Amino acid sequence: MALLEVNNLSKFFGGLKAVSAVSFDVPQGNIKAIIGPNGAGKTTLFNLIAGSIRPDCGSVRFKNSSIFGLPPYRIAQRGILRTFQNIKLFPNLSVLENVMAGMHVKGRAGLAAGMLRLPQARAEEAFISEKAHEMLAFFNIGELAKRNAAHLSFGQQRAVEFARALASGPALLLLDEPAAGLNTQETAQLASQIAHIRGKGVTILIVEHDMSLIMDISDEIVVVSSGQKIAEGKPSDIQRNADVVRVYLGEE
Amino acid sequence: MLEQTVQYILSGLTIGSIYAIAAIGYNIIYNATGIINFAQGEFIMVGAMTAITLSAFLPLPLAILFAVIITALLGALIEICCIRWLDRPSVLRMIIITIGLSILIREAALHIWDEKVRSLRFFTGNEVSSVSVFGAHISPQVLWVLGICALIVVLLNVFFKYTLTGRSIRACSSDKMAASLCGINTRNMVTLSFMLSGAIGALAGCVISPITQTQYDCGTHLAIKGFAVAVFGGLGNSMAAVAAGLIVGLLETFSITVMPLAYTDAISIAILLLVLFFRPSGLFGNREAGRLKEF
Amino acid sequence: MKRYISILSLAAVVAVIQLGSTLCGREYYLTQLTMAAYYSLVAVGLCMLMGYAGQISLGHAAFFAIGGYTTAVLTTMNLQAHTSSRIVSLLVQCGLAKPGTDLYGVAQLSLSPWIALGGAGIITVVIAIIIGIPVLKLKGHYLAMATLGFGIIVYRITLGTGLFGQADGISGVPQFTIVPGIAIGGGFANKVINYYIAWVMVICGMLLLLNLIDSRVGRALKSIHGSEEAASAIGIHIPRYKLMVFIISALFASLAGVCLTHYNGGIGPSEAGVMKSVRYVAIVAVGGMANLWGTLIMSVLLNYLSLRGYFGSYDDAVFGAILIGIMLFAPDGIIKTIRTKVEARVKVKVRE
Ligand SMILES: Nc1ncnc2c1ncn2[C@@H]1O[C@H](COP(=O)(O)OP(=O)(O)O)[C@@H](O)[C@H]1O
Ligand SMILES: [Mg+2]
Repeated sequence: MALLEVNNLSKFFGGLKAVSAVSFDVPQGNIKAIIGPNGAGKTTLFNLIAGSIRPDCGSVRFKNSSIFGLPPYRIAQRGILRTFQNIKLFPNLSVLENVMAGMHVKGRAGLAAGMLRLPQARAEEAFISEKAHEMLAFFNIGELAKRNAAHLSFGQQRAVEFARALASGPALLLLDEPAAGLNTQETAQLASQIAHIRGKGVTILIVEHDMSLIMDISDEIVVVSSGQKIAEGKPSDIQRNADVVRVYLGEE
Repeated sequence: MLEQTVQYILSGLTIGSIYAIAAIGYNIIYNATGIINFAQGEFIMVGAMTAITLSAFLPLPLAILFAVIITALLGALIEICCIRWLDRPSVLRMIIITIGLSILIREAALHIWDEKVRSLRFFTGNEVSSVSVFGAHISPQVLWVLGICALIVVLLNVFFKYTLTGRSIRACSSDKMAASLCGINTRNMVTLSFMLSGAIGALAGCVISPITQTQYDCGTHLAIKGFAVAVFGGLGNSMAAVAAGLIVGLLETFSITVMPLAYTDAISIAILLLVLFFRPSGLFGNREAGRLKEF
Repeated sequence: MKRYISILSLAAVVAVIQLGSTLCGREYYLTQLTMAAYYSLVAVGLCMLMGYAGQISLGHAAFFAIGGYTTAVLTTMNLQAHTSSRIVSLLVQCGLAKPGTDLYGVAQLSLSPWIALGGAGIITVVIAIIIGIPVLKLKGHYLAMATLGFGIIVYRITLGTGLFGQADGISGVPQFTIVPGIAIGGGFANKVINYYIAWVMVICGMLLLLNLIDSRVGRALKSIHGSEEAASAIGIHIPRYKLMVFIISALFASLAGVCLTHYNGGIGPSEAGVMKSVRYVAIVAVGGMANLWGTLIMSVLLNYLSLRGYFGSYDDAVFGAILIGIMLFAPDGIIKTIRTKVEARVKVKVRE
């Protein structure tokens, strides 16, 4: 039984078929990549899975229950966390607070507990803060903890966003072009981080243009073009697939 | 019965057309800048007050002309001092600045013209003269209001459709970048929008003053009504604003027959809230058209 | 830790000012400082909503008025005619309604302010929910205008309704006895006590809000301000949190309204006016938006100056000018802007 099952998922923007009848599975513990030319509908697909856009038809099942049409916060609560292609941090929060905010679903403390600083809320806060520090250390940005998230380099921003998405221990992580804008060294670091996270049992769905990264880390690849799935298979198969070479790799 | 209905309809249309002009004032600036100018109501008040002062020693048409020019200059001054040099200000910042401006203008008016309620001379005749329409006796000023407001709408349409400047403003509102690449000075177009908005506000203030009278603080009330109407018609869409203005004016006038006068203001604001809650794109716009910018 | 030090320093300053003014025989200053404290309660509540959660409200005076008018109506209502009714006699038995006489010696049976306080709280929450649910879906100009519209409607209702005394408002509101000997209101004899009651409330309010901004809920609110899309992607149910902070800030305003109405012995429609709402916004803006301390300091300062009449007939104009000046030249608030300027100077000096 796959962790995520996408079936015939479609989304139209007016007359434009941004995603049309796309189906694929993401098995537990796998890294699955989605590739395709710009405008193919990859980000839209992510938005549909994460709930930020309502699908027109099809089905999305996660842990064997439907998440079709649920609002994004409910989907996040079920364990699907994401990053954005154009990074969306909380610029008014510190780096540490950004990551702590990412653990929102792990917390229980309500309004009254927070305002009165009840022992239970304090204990939870201490736990969340420690966990967030661990997250930052893992991404080698521990020294940025107190910095304002608005004043970071691009690579650091990506790392903070990644840490925020990972902090709550999601079952499925959606990464939208995590290597875009990173230099080779940072990309290599990213690859090893992703491998490490997978080792912890997190399933990953990744959209990326960096072919060597994709070929390196992914178990399976889905190729989309103009909103349709045109191929799916192991990295080695995809490299040999004539259609894929024509519509995608051929362009490079 | 019929006379009374006609009476109500005409007075509803009169006040409604003033709301429509206020709404168009909002739309012109909104389309050019994405800003809602909370000081729009003050343009109406300043126009009327200036004309009243000038009419003491100038013939009426000249007094109105100068009032319109002065208010337009006030609009330009506001834009140049408080808007032009800000680098991509947030919506919140713009809201607060224009609210501050409306307070300052109102307080300045209080110190210049005190608290007294004033009114401009009737354009023709006086407060007791009347013409009869379908048996109802109405002030000729009502006809002036309807006529001038209609004229403003027609002239604006011509201006935005057929003159180079008007088209340049429209170009700026649909795509600032592209417009500036075509050699249009987008900054000046924004200033011009403020002037235009000030000018039509002032003119509306002048024609309505003999009927509703003018006080230093009458702008706030007109501003919120104008905004209700602008939203009612779909923000940015001025032809719809005219229809919406007339509808709100009529509703308000007829509401007097069923509820206390003190609550009439609450009516149009309640309408505003309902529209905001249920159809933020306006009664006449669908969601797509809500983004389409007419003049 | 840091926040307790700041709170303690605030308490110390409050005490020093009282002692100083009493020693110098200038206790009349305390009157305005008491009123300023209550207005500050509104301002810090609004700061939470506007500065931290990013939702503007141009109708916050309405909640102040809702609190004030509720308590004014309930505590000035004469139940003498209804003494036979079950509920009234029950209230009298529980000590929640007290017999007395009014100004003209007419026998009067009035409700306890505690009931009025509870009633004001409930009404405020109900109205905040009814208004908040639809209004908080809106953004930007729409949100500003909708809250402004709400404020105007409440203003018109206070102005046009007989129950609320129309343009005259309601006077003759009794003092609010918290425990025997300590009461809000009650004339000039109680200046010092009133001053401390008001400031204890401000201190408690500040403490609650300071705790809130560093809690899980507070982070959720701040993240909504930062990016709604990202906030919902990490599992935050945005409408719920927006409504929560709206209710909290409405309650702060309403509580201030209740207390100040008892303190002044009455309330008038101007408290519900648009200009009042704009003032609260101005204060939060000068304070630096997401800055509770800045808001508190600026609120006390500006309200004190305004109440003592330093601005004369230019009172509203001053607030208008402040709004424009701050938003044009120091959108981060006056304190922070000055600090960055000074720091930059110091850095230059150090380098030299
Ligand atoms: N909210 C939207 N409204 C209308 N069209 C959209 C919207 N989002 C995406 N599109 C269109 O859908 C297509 C797919 O976009 P996207 O999913 O971002 O592609 P990719 O991420 O593969 O580069 C594009 O043609 C884009 O213009
Ligand atoms: Mg994309």
